[in-house]
Amino acid sequence: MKIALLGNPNTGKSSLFNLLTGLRQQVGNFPGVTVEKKSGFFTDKNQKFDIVDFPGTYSLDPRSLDEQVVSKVLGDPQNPDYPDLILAVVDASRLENNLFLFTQLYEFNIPMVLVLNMWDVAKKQGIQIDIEKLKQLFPDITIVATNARLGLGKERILNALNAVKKRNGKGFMGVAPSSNKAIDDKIKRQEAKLRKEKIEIVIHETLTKSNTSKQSRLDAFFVHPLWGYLFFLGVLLVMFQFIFSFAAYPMDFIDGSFGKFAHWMSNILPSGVLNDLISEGIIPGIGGVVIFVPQIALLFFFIGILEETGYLSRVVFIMDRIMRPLGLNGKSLVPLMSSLACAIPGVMSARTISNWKERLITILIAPLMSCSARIPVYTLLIALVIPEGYLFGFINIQGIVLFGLYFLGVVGALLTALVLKLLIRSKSKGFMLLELPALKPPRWADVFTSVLEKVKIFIFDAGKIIVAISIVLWFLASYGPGNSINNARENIRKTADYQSADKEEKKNLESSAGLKHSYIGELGQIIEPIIAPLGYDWKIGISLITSFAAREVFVGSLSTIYAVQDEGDEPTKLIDSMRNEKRTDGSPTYSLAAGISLMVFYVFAMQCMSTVAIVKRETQSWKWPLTQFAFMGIMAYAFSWLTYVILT
Amino acid sequence: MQKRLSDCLLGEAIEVLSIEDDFMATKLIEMGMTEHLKTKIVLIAPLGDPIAIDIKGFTLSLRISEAEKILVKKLSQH
Repeated sequence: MKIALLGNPNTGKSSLFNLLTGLRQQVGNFPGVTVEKKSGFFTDKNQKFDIVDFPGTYSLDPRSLDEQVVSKVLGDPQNPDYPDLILAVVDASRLENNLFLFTQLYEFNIPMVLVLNMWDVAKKQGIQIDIEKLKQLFPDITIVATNARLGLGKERILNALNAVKKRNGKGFMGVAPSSNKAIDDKIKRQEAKLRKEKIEIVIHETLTKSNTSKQSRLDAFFVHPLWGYLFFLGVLLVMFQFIFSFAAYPMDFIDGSFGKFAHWMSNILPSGVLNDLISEGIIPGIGGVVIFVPQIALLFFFIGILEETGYLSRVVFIMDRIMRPLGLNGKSLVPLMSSLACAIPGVMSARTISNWKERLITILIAPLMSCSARIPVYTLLIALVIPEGYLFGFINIQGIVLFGLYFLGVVGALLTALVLKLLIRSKSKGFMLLELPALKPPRWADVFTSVLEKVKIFIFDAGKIIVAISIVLWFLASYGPGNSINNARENIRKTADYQSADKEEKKNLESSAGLKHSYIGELGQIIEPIIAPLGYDWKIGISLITSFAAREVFVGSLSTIYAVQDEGDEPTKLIDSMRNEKRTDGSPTYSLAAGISLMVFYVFAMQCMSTVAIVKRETQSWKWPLTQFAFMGIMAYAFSWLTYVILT
Repeated sequence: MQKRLSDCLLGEAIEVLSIEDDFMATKLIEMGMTEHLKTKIVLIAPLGDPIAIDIKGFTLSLRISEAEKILVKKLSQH
């Protein structure tokens, strides 16, 4: 049996879904739109129930994407998701508001079970609902009361599903809500008004309320002009402390494990192309996906708590006015802040923004925020070209430059948002009618389910593209035209330097010669004329290309090119080699101008295939990731060139 | 006394008289706000925008530009 789970936002619909399906669920999109489709199944008395958790909406009037998806499925019996039964969830403590969607659903002649959820909350607020009376008013459906947050009522729902009533075809207003988009706003308003008036009669007959509800005192604190912002700042500090510092341990572990695993595989497999492909292409490629999991999981753990408790909507409330002039909205803040750790979870968390234009702008500017993968690049280059010392005796110059790079990224992102706001045309009207749900403690099972869901999306959807590009990059770095790599290795063995080197140095010299003559090496030399105006040579060109796997690869590539051991955190040998590197005219390659120009390039350029993959996934087309790649590339080139010209 | 929702004070008891925009009015009815609803502003964001009103136990946030389209009258408090 196919079940459609429908209801308003914040009715505990997802809790109910988790309660019924456990972890037997998967997340995807409805065909052709970026509306999340959660589906799952459960069995009871040898019957299998497939259930789809539709997005929470307030009505079936197809204005937003969410509403369009719901009304499309219910209006078309041929649709693969067309249900045999509607499981409608309402929040018993807000019955009157929730009945609007319910009565619209009731117009369809589909068997139905109505779940009065959050029964205890209603009771606590002094709300009494006469269920018997409701059953008389809606005689051809089953009505049950539950409390999904506490895990109560599953049995009642299952019983109801096993004794589904046949519909009598009468409906509530007697007419199905029109799915016709062309209908005049005036007529729609009239329809809605009549429905609402009839609901008020139902409420009058079934509901009594003994005391009036009060606004939580916490709310006044959360939106306070001083305490509200300070508290939010505190929340962010805690989040980032966790994401930056504590994610580092599992990330190092994952990095080490994949390294060992690759080494082990290369030893047990017979040497040859297959061995290289697996140990140098596929395993590091998968490792490059898995390494992001700790950050993603931690970030979504925190966002899950903020969302579950209802606090996130208070943040939106106090940030909306500040973000609006930039074409963003209050909800853009979390994705942008997250992108300071990593743009991947940042882009994914933009899903909470319902306005497509504002969501798109948020996604497009998110990678301009300097992520943690840029840190190794920044620190290497700062150590190389910025002198140590203090300004006015106490401000660390290198520290100021690092801060300046972050600042440049943030300013770049906000100005880009401003430009995109003018360029992107939007169909949807800019209304922001937002519900501020009642504050409540998080339900941990739901938080963990959402973390798991996000990690799965990343690994399976973005992971495919990341692994594929890693393999391409591996191929380009390991093979060259004709026999060029082998020839280069042969030649290097004849040199005096090689003869006098120890075993480790010999290996480094060989891989350096190999990389220079690989396809990527050739590519670096081809693009040299293009990047020369920025102050870069072909060796930097090679590193720019390999950086596309992940920005921090820049350091590793340079180590290979200069034939030094990659020493990780403090690459002193690499810095020495880079410092001694000369241009043909004898001046140092890494001059102050070239070094800063390179840093500026890394601030703006989209050198991260994982982000490209996730933007493709979230926007459902190649159009936006490619646009983003292009404008970030243009910004990187223009600003680096400007920097180089000004400083030389 | 008639005025716009955007001009109301925090906690002032008011009744909704009319909503100017048909599209927005429909959305508001779906979320529970109808003409004749007795309500009050329960929260105001630091920069005075957006504001939040109470709709029978449900808190709805709306921008000032939206509140400007809603005509209300002040109720005498008892």
